[in-house]
Amino acid sequence: MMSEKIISVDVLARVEGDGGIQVYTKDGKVDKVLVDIFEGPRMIEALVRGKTIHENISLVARICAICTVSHRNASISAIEKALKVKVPEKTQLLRHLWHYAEYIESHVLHVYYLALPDFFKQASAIAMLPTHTDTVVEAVVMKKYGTELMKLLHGRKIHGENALIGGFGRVPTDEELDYFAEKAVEFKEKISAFIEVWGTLPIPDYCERETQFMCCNPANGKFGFEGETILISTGEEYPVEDYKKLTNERVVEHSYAKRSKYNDKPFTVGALARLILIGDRLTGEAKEKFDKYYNDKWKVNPIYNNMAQLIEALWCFEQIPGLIDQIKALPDSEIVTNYEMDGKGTAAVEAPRGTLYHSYEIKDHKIVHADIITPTAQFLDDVEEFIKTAAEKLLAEDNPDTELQLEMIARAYDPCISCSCHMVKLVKQ
Amino acid sequence: MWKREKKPVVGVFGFSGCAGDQLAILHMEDELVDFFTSADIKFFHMAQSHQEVEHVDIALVEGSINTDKQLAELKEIRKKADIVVALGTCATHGGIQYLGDNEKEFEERMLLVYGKDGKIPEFSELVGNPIPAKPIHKFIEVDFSIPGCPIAKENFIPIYTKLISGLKPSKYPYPVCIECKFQGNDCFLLHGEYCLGPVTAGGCDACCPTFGVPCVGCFGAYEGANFESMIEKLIEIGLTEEDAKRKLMMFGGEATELALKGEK
Repeated sequence: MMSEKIISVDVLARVEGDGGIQVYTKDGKVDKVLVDIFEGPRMIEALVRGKTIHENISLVARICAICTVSHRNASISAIEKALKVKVPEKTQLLRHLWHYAEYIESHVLHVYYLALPDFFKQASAIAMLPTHTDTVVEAVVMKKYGTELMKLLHGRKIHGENALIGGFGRVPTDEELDYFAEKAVEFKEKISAFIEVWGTLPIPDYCERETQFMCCNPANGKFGFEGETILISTGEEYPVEDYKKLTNERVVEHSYAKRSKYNDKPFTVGALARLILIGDRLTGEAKEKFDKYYNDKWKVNPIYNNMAQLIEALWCFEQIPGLIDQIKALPDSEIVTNYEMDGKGTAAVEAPRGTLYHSYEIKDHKIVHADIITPTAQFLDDVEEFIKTAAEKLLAEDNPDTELQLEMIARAYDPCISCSCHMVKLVKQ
Repeated sequence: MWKREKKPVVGVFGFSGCAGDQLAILHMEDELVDFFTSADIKFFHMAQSHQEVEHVDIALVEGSINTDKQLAELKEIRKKADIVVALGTCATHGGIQYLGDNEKEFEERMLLVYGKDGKIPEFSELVGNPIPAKPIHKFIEVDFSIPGCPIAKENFIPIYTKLISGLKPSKYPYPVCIECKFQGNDCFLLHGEYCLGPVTAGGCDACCPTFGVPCVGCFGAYEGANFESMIEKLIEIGLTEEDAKRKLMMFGGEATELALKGEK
């Protein structure tokens, strides 16, 4: 018997990029779920071949606007590893600050602008302005903090050219940094209060199932967003150079984003994975919120990713004042320009939505081979599985909100399809 | 042009790219509420759900066209819109993924990225068949272009404000190099360092040189660009001709491609 298509989310709205959801049934049961990605093929890995390492970092940052910092950061790290570039401590700390700015921008955008409207059955954050004025205004000013801090280090809110191999073009002044240190204290209070509000929202439980998680394991044993090894919920740990073993990328016909599996099973990366695997290393108020809200449900329900992102954003605000003090105490340094001509290097950073791998082979400062694996390419298989579990339950109940509920799962993952959510249509045949 | 009798209906549509131009709108935090209230934003799928449109006064279209499915959707948008604005370098020039008419290289890239057993796999009708990336004016009539990777609000707001007021915007007249002078910056080229400011369309307020880093050309070519002289200068400061042309082509799209071939 042919599969019958029951639910068709033509385009997912409120995500970054273009994708949709198709649910097929057979004999009254959900047969398969396809999250199709029709964002056209851009083939960045092919087009960077023959480009210089400096041209490469400008190009790969443009894979994604929301995680432009993570892409540029991962690319610079992999190239510096390949060519044995050692950057001074001040540069390393400025890069942490740059990365935290992106976390604030991305997590606030996702939780407040993209995910929150679902919980109030609204079309957008702007539509919530008359009824939830304070929350919307708070989101706008908090995101502005993130984008302005990105601009300070990046040169622009999106695709800035200031972060270079070996250092930063322009280093911010102490006065500029002081402003962001002061403001971080104010926003820490705001997001902490919002976490309490989020904690009261009912979290749907229709999609629960077991899965696997992965994230970078920071070498200093602290919480953080980069590492030389990857930690897996199975208890295993691998060096980032083994990334192909962890992702096993494959092409599927319904998506221009590739897919990944580990041990032949889907897995999840992102804020939820990080808090499940290394959340006990959080400090300060972020740790208090984690202890208060973390429970075993997080391991079976991706919708908790929203709360995990809020806790990470709080952690970033808490880190920034101390980090800025450390940066100010160090002398400015020149951009490192003396490095090898050839080499191979792989780096992983945690983008806001999960582990991001950049791997290069370089000859005469030109890219010979590039391999980039994005978080979304890693977790799409798991999104399909969670949607399948949910669709079985919701269709059995004849739930009137099925499309919205399925979209909420996809949105909770914060997919960066360079993607977006358009409409979900229910096609009953 | 449409006439302002009511708030204009606006749609923001996205094709292949990084979604940076839609995001640049969301990143205009100070103007965000004005953006969403000064017009009737009927379609903006990165920001809102529940949308279906029969007609829009103004369509802002981001991204290059990379599949036949996107091409069909683009043609639908043209039918529904009075004014179509290409938003960002992917839509205006094809973006970093632009390949010109080089079909052979397109096949090679597809094979390299998606190839299996030496063949390009078939993609389902859900996602459409791949085609070489092109800017939207190759397929439909475009009324205005706002380049940038991503767009800058210094350029976007004046043009958009005129459009939603029923007025005809004027083209942005300067290359980055002039804006850089307005900012009072020192010149990279005069110090023997690479910069594409003289041949790149302005509208960004020379944000990169003002920050102390050279212009990489992300707004595409300025209409009156003197490529010959630019290449000469780049060779003089130590680049090879090949290096210079490759840098010019990073964001240059068709206009630069034709100019470099001597066909314009």
